[in-house]
Amino acid sequence: MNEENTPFWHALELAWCGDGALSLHSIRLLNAMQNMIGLSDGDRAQIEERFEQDVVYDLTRAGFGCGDQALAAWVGTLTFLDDPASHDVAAALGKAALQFGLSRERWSSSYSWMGQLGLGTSFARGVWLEGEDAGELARVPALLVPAAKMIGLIEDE
Amino acid sequence: MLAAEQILHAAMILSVESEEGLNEGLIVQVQETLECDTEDHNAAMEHIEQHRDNGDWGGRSDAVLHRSRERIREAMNEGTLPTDGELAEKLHILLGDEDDGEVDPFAELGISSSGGSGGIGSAPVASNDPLAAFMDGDDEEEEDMVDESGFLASGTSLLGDDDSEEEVEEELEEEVEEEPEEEVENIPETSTDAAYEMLMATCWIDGILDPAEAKLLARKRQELGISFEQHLVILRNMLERAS
Repeated sequence: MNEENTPFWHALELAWCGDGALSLHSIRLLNAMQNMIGLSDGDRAQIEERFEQDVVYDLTRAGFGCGDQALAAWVGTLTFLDDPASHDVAAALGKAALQFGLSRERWSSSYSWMGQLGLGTSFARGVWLEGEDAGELARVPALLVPAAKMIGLIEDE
Repeated sequence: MLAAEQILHAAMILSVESEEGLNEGLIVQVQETLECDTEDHNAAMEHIEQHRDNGDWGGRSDAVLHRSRERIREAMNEGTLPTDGELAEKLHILLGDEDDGEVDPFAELGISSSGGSGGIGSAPVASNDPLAAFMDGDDEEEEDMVDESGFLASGTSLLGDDDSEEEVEEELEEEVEEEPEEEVENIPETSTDAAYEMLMATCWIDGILDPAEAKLLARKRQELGISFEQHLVILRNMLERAS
């Protein structure tokens, strides 16, 4: 698994990296997110383990877990997955990625990201021009902004 | 006709991979001859740094160097680069022409190369071609339209050239047909999956997938009866091996 290129890793970053502490509220939000995206306990453990080693051990605590606000907003964007058009948007994002020019690295990271949201196949169809022509991407939903950044469609601020 | 940026890119690759390493003086001469600007130089260098992989070029260094040489030769044939004078001499050294030191991959593999390979501009005959599955019935029509150098579609998209999709597609097909010798060792049997993977690797040789390449692959999946799920598995395996 490409742990660092997943929405759950992003959630962990939001939860921990605000002030180097994880609040109880963040733990609840992470649990909610796990359920919403259907992430298995095994996969979650694998991501969290790697996150601890790569990120948490280097953090310096400076608060009480203020990252939960950003995490709450992020978890809220997961409602996009209930949108019937989410797969079409994923395919359109894939097509946009192809038109932009997709490297192997960017493909791997963005496909990994979309895969954890259950949108991997739709995204891949857009990239690889499989099946019906994907539409144009009108705007990038907040949930997919990190993926769009990985692809290079949106520049990091 | 090759774009100036593509020629500069090829010269930079050869220079970077030469024993002496990048010869900025030579590159400046090439750049001035081609009337390329600093932006072109920087874009090419960025591409090289991104994909060079310590000279391994994702396992395709032979193919990359071969095509770079072909591009320089083509540029000299077309008169875009000089054929005599100081710059030409340096380029000949870069090309390894002085001692005819170019390796015949067929000979290296112990395969006799039928059909006049090695000559400038000649199209190697793909005998014993594990990629025969990719050969279209309309090759004759395509031959006239295909650029002999065949060097990636990609350089193209990276450096902002505006080749038509069809042209790029044909270049890629020709490219695959021209290079069985480089992959023979890796493909013990002519399996459809292996051939498709080889095509996919060729499409991504420059590190960037573009719409023409994706379109070509989609067409080949249909022709070869490869499902999209199979495609994703082949792709994943290819990337895992590369990493």
